[in-house]
Amino acid sequence: MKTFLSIICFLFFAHTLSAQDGWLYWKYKDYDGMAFTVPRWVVDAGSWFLDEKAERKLLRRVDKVRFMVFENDMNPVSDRDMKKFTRKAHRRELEDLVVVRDGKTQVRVMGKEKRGILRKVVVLVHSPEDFVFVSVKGRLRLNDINHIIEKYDKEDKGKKDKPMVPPVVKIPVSRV
Amino acid sequence: MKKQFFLILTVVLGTILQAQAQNDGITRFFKQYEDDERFTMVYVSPKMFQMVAKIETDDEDWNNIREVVKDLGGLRVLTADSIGDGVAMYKSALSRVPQNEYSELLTVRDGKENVRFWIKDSGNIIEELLLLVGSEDEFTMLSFTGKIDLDKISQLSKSLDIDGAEHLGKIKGSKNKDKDKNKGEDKEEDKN
Repeated sequence: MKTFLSIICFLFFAHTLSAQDGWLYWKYKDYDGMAFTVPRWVVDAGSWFLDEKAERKLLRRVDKVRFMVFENDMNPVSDRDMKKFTRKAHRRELEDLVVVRDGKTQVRVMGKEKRGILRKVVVLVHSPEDFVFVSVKGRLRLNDINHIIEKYDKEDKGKKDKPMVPPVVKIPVSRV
Repeated sequence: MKKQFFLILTVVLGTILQAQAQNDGITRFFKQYEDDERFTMVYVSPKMFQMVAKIETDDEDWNNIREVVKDLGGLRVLTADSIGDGVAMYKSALSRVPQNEYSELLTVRDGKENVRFWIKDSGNIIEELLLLVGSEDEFTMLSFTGKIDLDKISQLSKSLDIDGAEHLGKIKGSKNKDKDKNKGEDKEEDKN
């Protein structure tokens, strides 16, 4: 009986530990702003509407997306909670990838990667006025992400190379 | 016996602490101003460089960048473009650079702008590249760590969209000048 209870306790605590990652979301999700979680089945369903195979493939590797935005001086997230989140995230093997601070605005990108697969990406944008939190959980391959980036990069380059006025168009000239 | 043990322990601890204090000079400078709103702070972690290096692609430009970043350990930048006391900041940062640990690579003074590069090397491997720029209004401190190839790192000056990174291109210029100078000297020697 004791062993059974210990196992139950262990599983319970293990579960709460893994849920620690999203405490910031659960704490602030009901404040005035926008907060939603996209579960895996919605992501899967959404992938059917994409034309590109590479994009579909990438999206199907996403397990869960969490999104929380506060704008227009409505940021309720305190600096103390931000520091707490960063500290806890580091403990949970989420590493800082890029940190940029300009004035009072800080952008932090964190990620958990193992053997070329991104398990989790968290993007935090924090300023006294605004706050953005995006968390993507899944098994994203770095090469798949790069394919998408390359594709859009090529599309952008193609657009830039196109002349504003096609050379075939002749400007009508009326003779007097 | 006890005395000897404590003496050795003190010497070892002293050496370790001294080495740490030298390293900490620059780290402390970054820490001191990383939350200062007058400055823009950028930190790119070693993990990010490792991840970028793992991406396989046919794009030639990207492969060039990959070659550069695959051995990089991290990047820290502290920059301010409208700071009143840029020269004072520059001097303050200059005093924090442990001269016995870093060797000066390049110094450029253009008008009121001062640019200095230092490297920290062990044997043939450059472990850190430190850039310091100071003028009346501007200040930049940039530190690359890892295994650094100066030729390759100068290529990053175009790829990095960070204030002060454009100065990295000067390393290649200085290296080429040195090479040309050496070639000229060699030719003169041959003539003689």
